[in-house]
Amino acid sequence: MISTYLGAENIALTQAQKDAFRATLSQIGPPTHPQPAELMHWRGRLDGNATIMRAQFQDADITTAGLKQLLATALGVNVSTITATTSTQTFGTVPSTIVLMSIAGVNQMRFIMFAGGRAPIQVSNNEVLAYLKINGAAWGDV
Amino acid sequence: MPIYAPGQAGSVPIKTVSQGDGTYALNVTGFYIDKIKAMGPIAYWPMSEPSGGVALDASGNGRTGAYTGVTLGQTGIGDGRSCPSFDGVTSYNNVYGASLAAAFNGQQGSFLCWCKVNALGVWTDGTTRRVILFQVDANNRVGIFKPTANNEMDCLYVAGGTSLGAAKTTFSPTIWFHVALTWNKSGDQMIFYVNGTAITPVSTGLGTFVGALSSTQTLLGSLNTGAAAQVWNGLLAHAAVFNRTLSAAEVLSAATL
Repeated sequence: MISTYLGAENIALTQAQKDAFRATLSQIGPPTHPQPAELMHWRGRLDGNATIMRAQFQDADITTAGLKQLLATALGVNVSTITATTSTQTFGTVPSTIVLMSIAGVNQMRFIMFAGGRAPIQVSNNEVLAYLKINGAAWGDV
Repeated sequence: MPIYAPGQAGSVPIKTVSQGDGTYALNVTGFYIDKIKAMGPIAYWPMSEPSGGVALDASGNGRTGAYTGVTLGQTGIGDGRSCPSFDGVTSYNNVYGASLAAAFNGQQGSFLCWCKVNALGVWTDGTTRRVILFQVDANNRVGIFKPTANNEMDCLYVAGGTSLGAAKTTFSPTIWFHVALTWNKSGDQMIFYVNGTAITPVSTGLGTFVGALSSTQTLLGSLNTGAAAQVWNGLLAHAAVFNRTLSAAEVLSAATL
């Protein structure tokens, strides 16, 4: 189990696909936990096309393969049809992993594993705060 | 410094007393919670629960809050009780309820809350961060927040579209501090207090607050539920709401352990 922040940005999903993805997301994370911070919760970008989630995830969920499976489940497609391209970007001090998902050559979604997805929660939190500082207007922080 | 540290080995109970909210405290540093309760809040959230999703209302009115994304059990203000940490990203305490909305008085009231930031850098992060917000709509809302401006705490009282504000500037503590806001339409005064001291000059020219509180924008630590923007990055404790204007002496007492 790993407590971390995960970003997800829609690129080309339809509204129905976004709804399905949201429903799939609600199924991950612990069903109960004494700490509210460890339950799956999220905030949305003002345009409704991106979200930042925090939860105590299963380790396997916070991997490129896990995220591919998450998207495949949400869209009802075979995971082999999804291509994932990874890169890194540093918002604060620690690199975050960017995973771009495409189907048949069309980019569909972008995930951000803040601080790489395996860092302590405070490190992940610091990277999210740095990301939000850079993108504050889009997220309603200013 | 408090002697009693809840949950830590080596604590030495002296006298255990029920606080009326299902938790207990020791008579070591005095009963801060009782001092606030005696002022007659319409709702009072000490936020000292060690776990769970419910912020109990110590006023006795049953106006509980609902936690999202906070980490409970953090070191509190020094009264022997713990508090939640808000992560600056997704946390809030949604205190909206029909009972609270009915009891809330937009023409006359007061807020109290203890605050602490997670790091000095919060004061210069260029981000608005909410302590408390009770909002009907953009034209009728009252709250306390850290603005985008560096090293500052602000308040707002918008009633009938008439907007008033006050600011404590050149302010960047990394220790606990206390904020309070009082408003009184008939007396035509809004006063913002920091650490028990009123920011001067006090504001006048209050509009008429109208409308029912929003179920998504009556909360602690964020601008709204769901999207959860402008999230407080640090600790909050002992938030209380009154439907009367607290006196300067009462505010000073609330700002003192």
